[in-house]
Amino acid sequence: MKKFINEPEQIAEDMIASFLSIHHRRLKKLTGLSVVARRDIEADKVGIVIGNGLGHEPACIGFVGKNALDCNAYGNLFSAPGPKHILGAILEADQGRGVIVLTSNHAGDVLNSGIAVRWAREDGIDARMVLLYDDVLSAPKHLIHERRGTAGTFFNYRLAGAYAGEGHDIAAVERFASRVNERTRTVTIASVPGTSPLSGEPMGSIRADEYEIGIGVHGEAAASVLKVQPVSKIAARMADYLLTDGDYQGAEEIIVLVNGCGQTTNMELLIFYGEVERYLQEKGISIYRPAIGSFITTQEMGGIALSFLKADDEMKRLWSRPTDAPGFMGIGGNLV
Amino acid sequence: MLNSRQIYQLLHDITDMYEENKQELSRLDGLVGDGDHGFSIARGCQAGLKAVRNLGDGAQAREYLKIYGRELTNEVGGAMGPLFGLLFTELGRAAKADSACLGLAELAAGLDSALAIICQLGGAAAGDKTMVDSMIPTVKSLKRSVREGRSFLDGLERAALEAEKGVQDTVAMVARRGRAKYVRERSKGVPDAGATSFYYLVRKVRDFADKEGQQ
Repeated sequence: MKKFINEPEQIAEDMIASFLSIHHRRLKKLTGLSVVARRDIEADKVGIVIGNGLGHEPACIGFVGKNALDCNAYGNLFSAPGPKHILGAILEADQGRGVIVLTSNHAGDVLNSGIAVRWAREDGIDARMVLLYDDVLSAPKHLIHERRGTAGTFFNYRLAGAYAGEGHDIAAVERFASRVNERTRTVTIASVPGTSPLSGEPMGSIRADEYEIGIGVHGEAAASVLKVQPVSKIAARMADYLLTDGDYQGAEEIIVLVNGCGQTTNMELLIFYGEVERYLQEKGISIYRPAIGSFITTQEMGGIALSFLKADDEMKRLWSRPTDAPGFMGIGGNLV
Repeated sequence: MLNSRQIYQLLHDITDMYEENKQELSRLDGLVGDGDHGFSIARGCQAGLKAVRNLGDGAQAREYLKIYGRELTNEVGGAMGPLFGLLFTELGRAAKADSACLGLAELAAGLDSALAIICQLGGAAAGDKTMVDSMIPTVKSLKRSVREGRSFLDGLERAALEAEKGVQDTVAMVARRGRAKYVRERSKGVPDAGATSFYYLVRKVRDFADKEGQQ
């Protein structure tokens, strides 16, 4: 393994210390807890937090900011934080109007967030979990609640945060975040697995002449393999998975996310985006302000996650709200 | 039958045992997963023991087991923290509040309850190559020993044998849950690290009972 790190046990500490050294004016770490929090959470709004494992940067520490997440409880590498850290995030974010705990659908995230929500409610805080799942190839449509949370969770970090920033009550924020999730679909393709900085071993195996399609954000085994082929064909195939599953037909405008998984170049992301745009145009579907960049990564995995959000007018309006969270800076250039 | 003072000591022994075996358990985990299992559990146990020590040696077994499990959960996180922590918190709930607080019946009840919650929350079933595969035969054996009126040590001997057999059964299984599911077929031929950890726990309780001169 050739990674630019100190001892594997120090990864979290080293990385968070650097991150906060850069962003200390707006962000802080909670004492004794693995939580990055905003310094200037507005009073009188519903809090938005998430607990998740490290290793996906800029997700999710980079999504803490105005009109985005209020706090992020981080765990170890690809491993959710224990419930006391998520509880700490909930307590910090609570302004008396309750807290939404966004939870990407993975066993550890769900278990620890579930316990933290229960503890918070025992303490009289109106904490509610909103489960995020979007990976169409991880489970069939009739088992939609078993699907994994992947790159499409990105939409909610932005939109649920901006919606809560408008002062809506917790029931409304909960409904809104669920609606964004229901309208989101993602499929991920990979050419090269990432390397675990803990074990030094590749996370999964992909043959030299193949892609894996349907791979998870930790390199979880994919649904199927695909022979190497032109990007136009790949883009069309991936778009078809989403269009078929998510009912995007008609003259809808959709928000498109082209997410690089770590190793993939901006050059490739832009070329891939062009193919998606062309394909959707043929289908009579137009794109509203796409996000293109490496937002939710899997170490140096080579790959692209394609996500569609069937946006309504409210979602489109909120998509353009300004944020100071540092992780939304893609090469789409419209999300700052 | 163990009393509160013995549970206090047992948690020290369990913590030492995972410290001694952390390399081996991580090596097993590394064959199919992240390779952090042994280190995580050892770290969690240290955190649990610290909290137990803060209670002093005069507290109730129920309190010791509960705080050990909770701190382990908080420290480890991931899926393993809450699932492994449940073993201790549920044993704490099953323990009686008097001086003889943890016998075979309480062990059987506590682990049975933990098993049910682990299956429900973790979504694992028999044959998925997880800790559940060593828990199921262990709980079954403990319940049988309670019915047959066996002694504490005899019941634990039998339970440890069943737990070990459960681990051996995971060798041929293909992982369907947990981090090991990423490699699926490639997970064949390797015992599951979580099942092994559970077996080590049962064996340590058995060894402790023996050391304490329990019949």
